[in-house]
Amino acid sequence: MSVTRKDANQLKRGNYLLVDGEVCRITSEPQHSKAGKHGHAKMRFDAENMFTGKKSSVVMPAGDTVEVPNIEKRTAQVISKSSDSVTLMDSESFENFETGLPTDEDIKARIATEQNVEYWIVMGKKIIQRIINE
Amino acid sequence: MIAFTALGHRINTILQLPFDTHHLPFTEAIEVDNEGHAAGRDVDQIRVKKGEKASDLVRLLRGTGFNAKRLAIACEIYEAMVKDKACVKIMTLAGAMVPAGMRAVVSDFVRCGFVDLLVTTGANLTHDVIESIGCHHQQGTDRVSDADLHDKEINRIFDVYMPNHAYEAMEDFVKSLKFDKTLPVVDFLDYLGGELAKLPDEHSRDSILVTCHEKKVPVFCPAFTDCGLGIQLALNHRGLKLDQFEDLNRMINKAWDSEDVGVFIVGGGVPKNFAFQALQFSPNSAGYAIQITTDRPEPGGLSGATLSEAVSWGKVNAGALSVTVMCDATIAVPLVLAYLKDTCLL
Repeated sequence: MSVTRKDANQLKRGNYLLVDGEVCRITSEPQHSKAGKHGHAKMRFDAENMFTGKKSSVVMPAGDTVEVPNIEKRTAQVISKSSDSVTLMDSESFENFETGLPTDEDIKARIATEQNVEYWIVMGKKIIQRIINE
Repeated sequence: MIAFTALGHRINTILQLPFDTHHLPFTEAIEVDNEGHAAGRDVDQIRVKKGEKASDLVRLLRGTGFNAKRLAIACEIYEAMVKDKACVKIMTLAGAMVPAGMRAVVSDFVRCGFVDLLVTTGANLTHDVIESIGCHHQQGTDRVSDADLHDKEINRIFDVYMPNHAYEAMEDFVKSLKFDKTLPVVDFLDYLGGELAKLPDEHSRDSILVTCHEKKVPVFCPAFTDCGLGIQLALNHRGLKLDQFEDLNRMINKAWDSEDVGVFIVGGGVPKNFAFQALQFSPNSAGYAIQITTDRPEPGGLSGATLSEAVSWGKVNAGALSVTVMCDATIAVPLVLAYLKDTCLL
């Protein structure tokens, strides 16, 4: 199963969830508005698309359940880098694969061959999260 | 050069502004006979009898003055609209009439065939849904501490109360809906009427949306996002793309198809303009126009604008049967309904 369900009430800054089917990271501490003038309790948080970097703001009923992607964290070595992709070799399986450049501008600039990176597998897609050693 | 005919004219020559005569009275003269009577009938000093029917009271008012007379004229014009089989009858409904107890009055206009097309605010639909799911509005008072009402979770619409609980109940109902998220709003509202019809009869029978769905009267709500129902939909159904522009397309097409049109404008606002602008952007204009409003034309807003002003836009025909009644709609509209039921139903 690539997702599990979670109560929206329990979400915190830094958590990941699916918004309109896309993986997003919560970038603000959720604000809550209690039940009453607008019906059931509502919450609001800022979210950033994990793959496109697009920012959005989500207002939703706090009692709803959301889909949380299961994240597999692995390490790999950078084999090569081009203008729009990176080739990695997984540290355990030695499998070679191509993946997109990281969305973070700083990491994107610093990525170079022979570095060790942490990458995640989310919803069947692979994404570089951070550089372990330069 | 300074002229001395009228003060206004004198000021205008000093300030070099174009001359305008708005401060001068109308100059149309009347005919007066040898005894000083103007042409026309006497004012009836009406006599109201015990057990007087509402429709008969309206007939009595025809011989009076002020807005009583205009209300009677409005009823006569509406009767002519209904009996004109080719006439497309449009009702525009502002405010929230439902909190004031007018839900079954409005739905009866539709049920009896007095309305072919409804343009409304979202508020009427929101409160209609709330009553349909079994929540009630209550008689209250405007002489109350609103801070206290807020603490006690009660919302006030002048002298009517509605508890916050009604929003929670509406949210549960809205959450349960399943529909195509790209529908035109008019089609969504038809679907909603169908869903409300499945609720217990005692609550849903008099619903405006249910009645329009059953009589196939389209409901246009141009400012649908401007209501609690719209917001609850947006918050509980992600990715909504209800198509307002398809609604606009259909309304304009309806205007082009309707050579014979009558409008019954209750209160003004967005609904009034939506109907009128469709006529403006078509070759047609309203041949019957009735307006019930408490607003004045002087501040320049639409809700108080005269039907004569609408003639300048091509929205109302220069030869139309028209009248504006300066009256609270919660008083006028039930009286119009009573009159129509008496004169137009078999």
